[in-house]
Amino acid sequence: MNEEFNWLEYSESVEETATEAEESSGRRGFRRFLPDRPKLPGLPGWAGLPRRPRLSRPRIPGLPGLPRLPRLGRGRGASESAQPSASDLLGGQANRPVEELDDRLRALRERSGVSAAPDPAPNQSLFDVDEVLVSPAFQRKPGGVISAVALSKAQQQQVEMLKDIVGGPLQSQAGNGGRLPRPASVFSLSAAPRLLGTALLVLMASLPFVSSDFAEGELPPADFHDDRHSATSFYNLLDNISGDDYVLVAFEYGPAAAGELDLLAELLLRHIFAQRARPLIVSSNPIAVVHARNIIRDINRSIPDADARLTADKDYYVLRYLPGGALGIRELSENFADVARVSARGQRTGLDFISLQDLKLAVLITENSEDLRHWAEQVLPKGRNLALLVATGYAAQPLAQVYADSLEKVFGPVYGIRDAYTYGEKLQANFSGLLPSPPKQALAVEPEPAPDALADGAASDIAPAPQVEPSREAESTTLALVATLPATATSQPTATTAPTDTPAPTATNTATPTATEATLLAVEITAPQRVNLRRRPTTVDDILALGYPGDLYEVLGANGDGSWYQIALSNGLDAWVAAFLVEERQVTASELAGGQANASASPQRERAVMRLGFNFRLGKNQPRYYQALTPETGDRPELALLRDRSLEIPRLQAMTLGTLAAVLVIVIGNLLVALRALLRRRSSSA
Amino acid sequence: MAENTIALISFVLTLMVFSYLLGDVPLVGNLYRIAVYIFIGMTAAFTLIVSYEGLILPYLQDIQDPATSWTLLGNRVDITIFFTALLFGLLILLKPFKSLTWLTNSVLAVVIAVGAAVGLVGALTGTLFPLLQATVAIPEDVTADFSALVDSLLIFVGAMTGLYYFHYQVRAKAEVGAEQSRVGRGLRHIGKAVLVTALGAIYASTILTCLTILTERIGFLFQFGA
Repeated sequence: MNEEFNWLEYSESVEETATEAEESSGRRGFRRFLPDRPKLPGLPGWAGLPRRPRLSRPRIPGLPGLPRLPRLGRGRGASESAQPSASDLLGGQANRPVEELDDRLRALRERSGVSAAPDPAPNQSLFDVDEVLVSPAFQRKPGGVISAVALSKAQQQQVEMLKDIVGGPLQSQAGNGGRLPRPASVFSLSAAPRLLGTALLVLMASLPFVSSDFAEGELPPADFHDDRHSATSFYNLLDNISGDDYVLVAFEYGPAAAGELDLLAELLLRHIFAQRARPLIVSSNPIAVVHARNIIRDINRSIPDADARLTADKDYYVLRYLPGGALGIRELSENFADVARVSARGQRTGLDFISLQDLKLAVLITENSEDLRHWAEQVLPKGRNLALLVATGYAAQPLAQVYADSLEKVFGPVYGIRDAYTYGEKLQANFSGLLPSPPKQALAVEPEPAPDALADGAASDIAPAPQVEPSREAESTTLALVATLPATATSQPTATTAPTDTPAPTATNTATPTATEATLLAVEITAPQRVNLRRRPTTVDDILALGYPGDLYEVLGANGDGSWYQIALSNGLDAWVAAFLVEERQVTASELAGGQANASASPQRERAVMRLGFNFRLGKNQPRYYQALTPETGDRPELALLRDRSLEIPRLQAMTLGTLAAVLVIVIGNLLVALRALLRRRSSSA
Repeated sequence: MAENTIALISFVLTLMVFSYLLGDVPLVGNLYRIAVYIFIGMTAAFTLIVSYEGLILPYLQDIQDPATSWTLLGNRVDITIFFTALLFGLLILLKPFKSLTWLTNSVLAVVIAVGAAVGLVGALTGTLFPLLQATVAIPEDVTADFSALVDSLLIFVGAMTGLYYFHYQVRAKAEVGAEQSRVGRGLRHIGKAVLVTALGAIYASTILTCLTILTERIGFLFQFGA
């Protein structure tokens, strides 16, 4: 026990002080240390509050009991040790002379009604901290609590302005039964600006639905703009799935955002269905699960043949909903096998996944950035090769763009009604050729070949237009485009190609002997095993295809130090191969055709690599491109095309006019407010 | 017939929501609230149904038929999990009883603690570190990827000046009228501009969202009227 401090004596003095406080205030427990509560009309005093039961310390017979610890502050221990306590410091701060306060604090003190002189009688019943923060005198004015707040003249003007802005007198929630205040009546004068603004907005947004004469604004492009590589990759990645693939589709939007995201969600689902892939629909929003089922029901209704309609738990799976927001999404990433076993109807799906790593693609359709954040944080780190394609509304687009620009595994965002239109146009262009009859034969019979291709008599797959610019790659989304692409400057013909003075491509000129014997610069793969053909001349870039020993590829160019060759693949793409793996050869066109035929003997080989070989890297400096592929004959193009597009264009035009009206309303409203403030200031100064 | 009925109900409900514009007019003023009450009630009902079918029903089936456990854990573990969850749910229902509130709070503490831990780990591994890494990454070829470098610089400057604007680094000064240096004020203005621009962009995006939804509803009304 401390020799300088008598614990027992101190404990007894504390008890005495507490007893005195009890007797003087008439209260028990901790309330006896509190100051008298100001009596506000309609509010109970301290006695009206529920009383907390007192807890007594257990006393063990024979033991003296634990000593009480000294309180921080002005107790005996503090005074005897002559050290400044925290309470001393606080008291000193509270009792600073008014003259030492800076202007802002002094103005605040005066405005709050505190007199310059300190309270001469601090509340002594507050044990041990008697001079801490004396409460300011409360100015009471007739008319209730709100009117008791002292406002300066400038503040009163601001309150009046606020009343004008919100369109009516401010109502306290207590006076309205705790409900939200209703808007001012349509018959009140203050509601007039609001009504006029709304009427203008609705009128302008309605005009395109009434008449086509009000068609304002340009329609969105039929393809994503050149600078939107990530959106192009979004489409192409989804275009590269096949009938054996499952795609995780996260519906993270409720009915409130249906007007914005339904079109996009329908297009994405149709794209997946058209390629006979199967979506696994999940959501952390129970209503979104119901909504997803409704969208698929609408897609089914558009299919005229009842036998061809989609079947639940066979063509698509709506999995059980994920409760708990981020926790539910975490469960999906950790325990995907169990989540995939039960449908939203509580039935066994028969799916037998091991983990999330079995999937390659996840499509997130969300209305807010929080869901995107949850998916990026909880799912992406767990899905090793999972690419997240993000489709959002306008409100979530800014954050989605940051994720897409920064994270290798996030693609998109495709957002809003304009992107939905562009996506629909791309879908139309990709699948429309397949609807009446398989178009591949027709296109192969009558392509419009480039002059050099006609000259050397090469097959149409030898003379593709290699697109050096990545933005051009996305243009060859269909076989039609690839086959009819004219020879442009991007094809970079080598010196060994057909003579430039080749006559116009007529039928009589296609079989000239000189053209047939022309030689091309090619490379033959001499490595003992398969080699990677990459998108760029670096070993960390994406693998576009695999090359095998003996394969021949036309050389399109080389990098600066000659360590990589740029070659043409049989499917129209260009790729890069390391120079030490190949050997240069001068070959004729027929030899090259034979070598490439050998290279593409397995038609699915290159394609399989493109579908599954997502090679993600950290860092955003190298844009990622994926080439869209030709639809397969087994696809179901009707699912991509049979949709109601009657309202698409009027909605786009309504968006344009509505945006114009919104800008007008905002600008005029701000001008009016500024004008009113100016007039008030002038009148008050006068 | 059923489709027409649903479309008619949708049409009427849409008009009821639009009645909010008319304000506090007798009778009409309540139409908006009725529509919202219907929406909330339907949402609650569907949530209950989806939760029962997707979450509770599989466990009930598991109990009845032990041979078809729907998880990898097996029937016994499923039943244990189910009854643990049921117990936790019942404890949460004790919230109105003040003397037993500590039981409810214990369950909520578990949920909140697990949620906070999951959120923290996710934020670090999924957002903070990857975004930081992407932001500070310097392009291999600066001349070829100049826009990426500019993006990174803008993000860095925006983040730093934004933090500076909130003057976490400014100490309280006793002198009246003490001001920051010109450089400090300039940085604060830049941070303020970055914040205002970001908020303006978000506000504009939200307006576009509202407009999209409005045009969809207007289109629906005209389609139904036609």
